Parts: sequence; structure tokens; C-alpha cells
Amino acid sequence: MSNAKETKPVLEMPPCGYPNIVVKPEELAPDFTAEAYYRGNRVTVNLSDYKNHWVTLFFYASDFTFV
Amino acid sequence: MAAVAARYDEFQRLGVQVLAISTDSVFSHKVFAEVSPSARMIQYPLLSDRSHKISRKYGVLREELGFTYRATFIISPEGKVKYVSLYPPEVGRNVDEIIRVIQGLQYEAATGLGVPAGWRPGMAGIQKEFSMVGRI
Repeated sequence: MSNAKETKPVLEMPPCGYPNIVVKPEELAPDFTAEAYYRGNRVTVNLSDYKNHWVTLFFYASDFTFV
Repeated sequence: MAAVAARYDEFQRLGVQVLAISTDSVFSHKVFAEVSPSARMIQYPLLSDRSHKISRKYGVLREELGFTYRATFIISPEGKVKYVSLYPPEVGRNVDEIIRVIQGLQYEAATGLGVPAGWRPGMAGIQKEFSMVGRI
């Protein structure tokens, strides 16, 4: 093993194991559970709660920003 | 997100559930919704992805920054992603276009017809039979 070279992984996976590649049309929307603020309350939202409904999911960068 | 809030009644008329999500905490969301004049009109849930797991699952996390691209996903009643867009960080969304895409998807689901470029509700769809190939 004296000649063994140190090898580095070609693709480094982000911590939770998902490759961070954008989900594309016709793929299943990954399910999730999240804490949410809704009309004054702290609630839990599961995407699966909205099965049989159209859903629009908007990712935005940050609260209190301008655009 | 105020641009979506301003059109929220149209999303409701189309039977579309609106969810907004960022990597901020629910505490931040609360204060944002309470004090920001534009956020005060938000009627839909503000989801918190503080662990970044959801943003990473959807592939929209900017790892080096800890927040996401301005991304939009339209998800069908069967749970399938039908539309994705990633906007440049500098430019806000065109909510008109997002509503038009939902209307097009619902039109296709109801009629089986193709939805041509620039289609708007009230316009004709396209027959997708093989016999029509080359005739349009």
C-alpha cells in the first residue's frame, strides 16, 4: 500500500445525502414536513396534506428583502 | 412575495394552494408578516426550512449562501412537479405567467388538448392526434 495515492471523491454530496439537483417536470414532488407561520399561528405543514390539490410552492431568498 | 399575495384570490379561484418557503425561522416569518407593509397582506402559509433539507431536496439551495434561488414549482393533484422556474436573484417573478401556466395545465387536464405558445383562457387548444402531425 506504500504506492497508494490519496483519492478524493469526485462528487462531494451535501450533508443530508441529496445531490441538490433541481427537481424537474414529470418528477414526483419530494414530500416534506415544515414548521410554518400562518395567520398568527405556528403550524406544521406536510406537502402530502395537499394531495388532490394543485399546489404552487414559492421558494424565496429571505424575509425583509426587496424583490 | 407581495406580488403573489396581490393575486391570491385568483389562485383560490383556480383551486390552487399557495405555499411560500424560505430558510428563515418561523420567528422571522412572524415578525416579517407583522411589520413589513408588503408582507402584511400575505394570506398563505410561510414555511420555514431552517435545516435546508427541503431546499436541498428540491435542488434550489445555494449551499454557499444558506438561502435559495427564487424558484417556483407547480405541483399537480397527483403530486407531480409540472413546472419549474429559477429566476435571476435580481429580478422578481412574473405572477401572470405562473397563473397562465396553471390555467394551461388545468385546461389540458380537462380537455386533453395541447396548449399552444401564448395561450390564454378562451383560446383554442390543439388536437394531439397523430393524423394532425404536419397539419399545424
